[in-house]
Parts: sequence; C-alpha cells; structure tokens
Amino acid sequence: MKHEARHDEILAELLTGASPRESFEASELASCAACRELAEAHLGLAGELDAAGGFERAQLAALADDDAAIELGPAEAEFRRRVLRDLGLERQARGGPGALLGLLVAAAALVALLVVPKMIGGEDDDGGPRMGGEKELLAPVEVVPGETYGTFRWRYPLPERGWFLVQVHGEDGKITTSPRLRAHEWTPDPEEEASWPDRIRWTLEVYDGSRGSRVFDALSTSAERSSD
Amino acid sequence: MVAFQNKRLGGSLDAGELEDLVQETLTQIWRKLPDYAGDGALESWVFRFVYFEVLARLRQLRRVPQLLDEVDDPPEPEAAEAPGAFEYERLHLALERLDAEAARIIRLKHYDELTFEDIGARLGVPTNTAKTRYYRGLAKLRGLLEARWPEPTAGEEGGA
Repeated sequence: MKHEARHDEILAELLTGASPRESFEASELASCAACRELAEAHLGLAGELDAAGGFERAQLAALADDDAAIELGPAEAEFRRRVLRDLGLERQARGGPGALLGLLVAAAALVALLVVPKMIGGEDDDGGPRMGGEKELLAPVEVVPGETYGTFRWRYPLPERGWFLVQVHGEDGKITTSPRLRAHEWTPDPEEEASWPDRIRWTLEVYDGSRGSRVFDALSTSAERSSD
Repeated sequence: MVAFQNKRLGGSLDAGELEDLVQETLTQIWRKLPDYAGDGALESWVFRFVYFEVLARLRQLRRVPQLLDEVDDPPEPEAAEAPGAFEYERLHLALERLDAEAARIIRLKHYDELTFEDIGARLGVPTNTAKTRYYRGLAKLRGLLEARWPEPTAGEEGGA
C-alpha cells in the first residue's frame, strides 16, 4: 500500500490507543511500509521507556526493602540522627518526611552501589573517549538473508584492559546482553536468538577497564533477518 | 542504608567520603525541591534527581575501584552491573534535552504508568491533547536518540 497523508492521523490514533500493536496489525495501515516503519520505531521506543520505567520502579522497591531490612550500626544511626536533626525532621516518624529522607539516603547509596564499580573512572576533559581508529558495526546490518542473524561483528579499537558488550533490543523492549567480550565478534546462543523478532536493534557498548568506565560513543544499528 | 552500602561495596567508599556525598546531595535536593512539578510521584522525582546527581559526582572522583582492576578475569555482567542502568541513563539524557512538557508526559506515561486520561487530568488538558503531545514528543525523542546513536541504514527501505 502506498503511504497517504491521512495515514499519519490514523497512525497517531492507533499508537496512542489501547493495545497499539494489535490495533495497528488489525488496521489497513499494516500493509503500508512507511506506516509499519514508523509504528515499529514508535513501539520500540515505547518498549524501551517501559523497561526504563520498570528499572526505576524496581530500584525504588529495592531501596524500600533494603531500607526497611537494614539494621543500622551505631555510627550510621548517629549519622542519620544528625542529618534528621540538621533538617529539622528529628521527630518525624517513618512514613512521613522521615521516610523520604530515608529514601534520599537510600537512593544516594544505591547510586553509589550501581555506578561505583564501573563508572567512577571519570571521563576525558572533552567528555569523549580518547580512542581514535575506525569504528563500525559490520554485521548484522540491514537485511540478513537466512533464518539467523549470524555472528555479530564490529571494528572498534579495544581499550586497554577493556571489553565489549553487545546489547540486542527486541521490539517488545526485551534486551539481551552478551557476556563480556574481548574478541570483535559474538555468536549468540541459537536458542536465545530464536526468540528474537525478525527486526532488532543492537548496540555495541565499549568499556575501558583502565579508567573504570564505559566509553560513551556506543554504536548502534538495526538489522532484519529474512528467509525470502 | 549506609551500612548496607558499605557491606555491598566492601569498603570501596570510606565513611567520610560517603557521608560528604550523601549530605551534599541532600542539601541539593532540598534546594531543588521547588522545581518538583507535582504531577508525578515524588519518590520517582527524588530518585531520578539523586541518581543522576550522585552519578555525576562519582564520575568526578576519578578513582578506579578494585573490582575493575580485576578485568583480566572479568565476571559475567549480571553479577557486577545493574541490568538496564545504561538504557535508563541513555533515555534520561535524551528526555532532559526534550522540551519539558513532552518529557513530563512521556515520564507520566511510561515511568508512572498513567493512562492518557489520568495524564490529561493531572495536566489540566483534554485526553486527546495529552495523546497528541505524547505522540509528538516520542517522535522528537526518537530523533534525539538517533542523532546520538546514528542508525545509518534505518529508514532507507521503508519510505513511500
């Protein structure tokens, strides 16, 4: 089907309605290539945002659990008491602003917990990596003939004591992550790959172990497998 | 929490450093509290604020922890890293570059899991307006993300 201007309005309606994917597939727009591409991009990003929201809610839940479960030692209890006093919340019971304070402390702790192991190496003065050399995702890209995506390959200078991670994003927001890799290729487990959709987006993350941080110009591309 | 953190980090941060970090962040939160728009969950706002403020602070410390000194025999990622953390940050950075209204609606939809009816009610706009702003906002967000992580082959084959 050829794309028409009226499709845009219908597409917006479908993608912001109930069960957007099902509504789209059931509509006349499903046979319009341009609409399908827009719908896939929209739903893919919506899936990623759902996953990010899930991440945030999970961290908040973990914080609440940890905060409730932890038994403070004398030094930490004194620190907490001092902060509460300084903020004028000394007499607040848990469940009120005191709980919020607990959350703040917990959140700060969680952030340190999450990022210290891998990120406090800092960044270069210009905020980017000092890596030079050619950087390119080689395969799979565009349409891949056959029933599998094959071996993932890339060109990227491996940082000193660094490693690569490949992340494969399905259209439902599901993310598959490779093990840490030193080679410039990775062949996913066939069983895992079988569960992926026929169109994926994959990202190459690069870590610089000597600085303890991720290199931030990650590369990303899309690929589609086709047995036609 | 402090005890929990020390336990999990195996003493990677000393108590004084951690105390400074927490106190400074708390002070900043208190200062920034008036910026809270009031339409999303306060806990979520606080979490985001603290998460990224402390993240920025930690990156300034330029200290390599013991864990990453052992990359010659690196553990599997799920043990040492928070799954989804990088995606969370990537989307956060893009949302921060989006206009505030669109970012608010997208967060209310996906992070706070509100319906468009609820979003409209919270923002004082009709449901269809909330939907339209969301849809346009998501398209802009996609553009921002693609500009940051170019997809040279995407979109070529799907044109009309």
